[in-house]
Amino acid sequence: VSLLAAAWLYSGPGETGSFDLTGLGTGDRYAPIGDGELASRGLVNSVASATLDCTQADINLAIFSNPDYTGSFVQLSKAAGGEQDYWHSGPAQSALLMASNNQGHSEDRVSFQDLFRAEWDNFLDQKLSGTNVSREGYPLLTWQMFPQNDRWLSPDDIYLRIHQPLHITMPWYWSDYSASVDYNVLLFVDGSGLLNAWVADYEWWVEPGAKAGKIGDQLDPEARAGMSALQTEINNKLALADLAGPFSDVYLLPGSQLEPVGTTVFFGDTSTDVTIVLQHK
Amino acid sequence: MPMSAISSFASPARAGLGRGPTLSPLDVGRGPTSCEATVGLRGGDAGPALPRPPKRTHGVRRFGYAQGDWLPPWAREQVDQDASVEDLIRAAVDRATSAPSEATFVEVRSILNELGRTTAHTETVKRIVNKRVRKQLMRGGGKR
Repeated sequence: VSLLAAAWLYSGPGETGSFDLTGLGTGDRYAPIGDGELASRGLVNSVASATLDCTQADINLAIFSNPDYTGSFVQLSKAAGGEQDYWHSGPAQSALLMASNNQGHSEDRVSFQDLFRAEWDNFLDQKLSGTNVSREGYPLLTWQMFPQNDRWLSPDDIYLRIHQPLHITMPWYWSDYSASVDYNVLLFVDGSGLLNAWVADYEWWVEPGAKAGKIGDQLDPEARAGMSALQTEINNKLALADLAGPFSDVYLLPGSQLEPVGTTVFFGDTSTDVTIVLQHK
Repeated sequence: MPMSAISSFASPARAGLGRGPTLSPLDVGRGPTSCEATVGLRGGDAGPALPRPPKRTHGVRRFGYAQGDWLPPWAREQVDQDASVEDLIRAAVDRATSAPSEATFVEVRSILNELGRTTAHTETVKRIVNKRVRKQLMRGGGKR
């Protein structure tokens, strides 16, 4: 076997029109197809059919509504071995070819939401206790794939992203402010085959207003200090979770895919969940 | 699974369905997923405060556009000799199927993709790179 997978994306139905051929080598996990590559083939919002071929792993082609591998998506999946034709309609601003369920390895799959949602709420509420900052609704637990033009994040890495809207309560004579904080978390397998988390960076945002600068000045050190505490929290959670290594790899799939999906087509949204896949040695 | 069955699964996309099964993006507190696109004050650019983990790779395959010499010499020779599109495709496929590897796939991919920018050439590629040939590209198995 020379390749793990190949994918042909066509602009026309029934494998017609212009096309883009991409693939995965035997050691590859992802092949991103960015908006530039889609545009160069006339495939932006115009992927009408596709053919997937794979050998020793399942292959998944997720077609996203946003150019940064986020948003609603359609995933075309083929179980290991053989070729399958598909048709497709709908948005196509970026696409991602992903190998999963590699033969010769077993996997554990966990939902980012299930693993961490309650933990995050408790963690943040404790941090915000006694302050004029509170959680505003639910966090967005999603991913950030191959971030471009980011000083602190690598374009070759994949991150879990936590986005939390915040509410800043002001003294009664001033209007309250909206704000948010973001953390990007990298999961990795260490030399002992254990799963670890590294909080790669933090971001915050405050809505415009005369007080925005002062709020930002107060938010920044708190958000930065939260990196270390969050990393400890996640690693404690991972240690307590029923995730028995040693592992050889950890990777992410969009949406909820807690079991291998086989040969099928399904729909999801990266804002609802991300699946963490742990590949055993 | 036959293609007809697969196609039926995909049909809801026409109606714009297929978002998250339990919560719509608006229900999950989706704020500015990209701060750059949001008016307001943003920060957090002071850099990572935590020690970096060991370097690891995620097996990301990138097919960049090679500058200048994307066309290998043997293919350039074919073009210079006014070989037909069919002959160029066959030569590329012969090379890739006689010694299937990631390197030969990258080579044949760059040529096929450039040809595949037009419907007419797609038809030609599809005729020559048929299912049997695609199988050989993936798994070896000799020349066509």
